[in-house]
Amino acid sequence: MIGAPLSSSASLFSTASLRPLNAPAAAPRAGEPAWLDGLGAGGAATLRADVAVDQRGLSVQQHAERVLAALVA
Amino acid sequence: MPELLAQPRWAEAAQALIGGCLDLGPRQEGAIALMETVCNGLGDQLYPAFLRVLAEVNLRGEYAARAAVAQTLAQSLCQGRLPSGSRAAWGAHQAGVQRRSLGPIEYLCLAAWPRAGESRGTSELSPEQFQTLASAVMELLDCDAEARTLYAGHLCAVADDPLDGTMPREVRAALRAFAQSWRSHPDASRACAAFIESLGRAGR
Repeated sequence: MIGAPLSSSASLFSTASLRPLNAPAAAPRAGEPAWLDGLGAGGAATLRADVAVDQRGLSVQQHAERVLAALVA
Repeated sequence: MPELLAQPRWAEAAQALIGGCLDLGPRQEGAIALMETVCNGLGDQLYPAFLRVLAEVNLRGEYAARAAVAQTLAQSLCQGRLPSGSRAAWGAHQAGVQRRSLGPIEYLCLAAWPRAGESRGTSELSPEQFQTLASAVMELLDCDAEARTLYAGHLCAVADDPLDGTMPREVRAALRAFAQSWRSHPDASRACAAFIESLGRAGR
């Protein structure tokens, strides 16, 4: 799944490229990529092995949109 | 190009991925296509966000939830459709370079120990960050014995590929030992620690 070429100087883990939308540039802790922020923190919410009734029978695209909607603008 | 939300809802994304895998059927075409569609939607630039979602599944998911995602990853690997991100295969500073598609663990490996010419030779992940992420992905795969066996074999193949210009020689050797260790013992943390130590001894 190779997508469009990135610029030659692009860094896939750089805090610049992965800085959250509308977030200040200094948001990530020093040396830590933005997407690692809070990993393992924030309580012990358990992810369940079940599917909500209103999400059963969705298409691949609809399921994918639900994942992406929680991540990207 | 999509941009990461100011406050990505990692757990929600992970639950949606779990639900999708279960609804479409772990090991089924639909679940594999779901992972591909998510990665395509993120694009190469945000591929690490997919790895974070996998880590969330491992850290917060009950066993059956983790197993559903692990089984889907195993089937993806069987079909040569492992959800992947791409990195430069050789000389990232040059225009028009070839790019190499990489699965989660080898992608993290190269982010932490890049070729000298890539990213100006500076790593994008510390060894500790590699340990956190790679262990999480590997522990997730450990939920399905076939997934671990298949992925360990895949890593060995990556390490042994003589035509692959992506991986530094010393990293390739360490990766082979890493994969063999993991295949023998489902102890991701120990395998990662040994991998990091061996690269440290090699001066990386």
